[in-house]
Amino acid sequence: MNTSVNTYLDELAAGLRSCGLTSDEADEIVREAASHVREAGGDPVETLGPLDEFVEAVVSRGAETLETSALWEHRTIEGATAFNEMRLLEEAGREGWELIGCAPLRLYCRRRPGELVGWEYRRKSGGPRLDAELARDGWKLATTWLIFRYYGRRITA
Amino acid sequence: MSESDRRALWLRGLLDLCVLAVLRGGERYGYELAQLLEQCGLGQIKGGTLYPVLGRLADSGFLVAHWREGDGGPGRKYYALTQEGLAFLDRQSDLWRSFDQAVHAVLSPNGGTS
Repeated sequence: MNTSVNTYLDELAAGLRSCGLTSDEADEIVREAASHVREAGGDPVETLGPLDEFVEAVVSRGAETLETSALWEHRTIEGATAFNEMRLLEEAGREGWELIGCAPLRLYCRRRPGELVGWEYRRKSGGPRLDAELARDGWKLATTWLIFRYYGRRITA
Repeated sequence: MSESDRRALWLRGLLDLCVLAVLRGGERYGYELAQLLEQCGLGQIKGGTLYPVLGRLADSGFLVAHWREGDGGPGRKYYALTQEGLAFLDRQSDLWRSFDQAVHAVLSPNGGTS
């Protein structure tokens, strides 16, 4: 990367930290910006926009999501496969984690801080027609992967 | 207000929906999303505009994201729509279509008064 790109990214990191983001939060954004500018090429200001506007957009985004981020904590479960994911979900569900998405080897979950109500999960193979059928028993579609559909249901006391 | 300012103003209220709509077709990374949105006629979406929106949508549970390593580079962060994001997109798309119809009627030669 050339000097202007490195300077832009360094100043972006510094600007984000000065606005209260942690180093990890700032590094995540800078890494993504670096990936973007590497593919786009050219002047980083042209590709990413003026530095102060970038920082301001990130910070104002934080204000907009203050409510939602206070409501949820997020967790990524690594190493999930078609052979172990139900066991991982069972464990996570007991701790109140709600499955909201998946990617290769990953399960994405959220829960409200202090959540005491657990989740149970089941996996079915089939089409969307299953959703209504399972909804009758309280199962909600959480995510899909290849032929599998994953459903979650709150565990009632 | 210049034409580009007005377009920017419209886009500010709709970019999150456009992002979700593009992701309906499968997971994408940021630069790829920007390219697709530009090809759709929305103009250049700068990274400093796009990534905060992606972050907000992920924080809201509408998207999930993961990094995939690149060849010697910083890798790419892929975003995918969640079921919650899909439901949000459907609801908001209906609202937009209703609003769009109203504006279309007002902007018609009769000014919506017929």
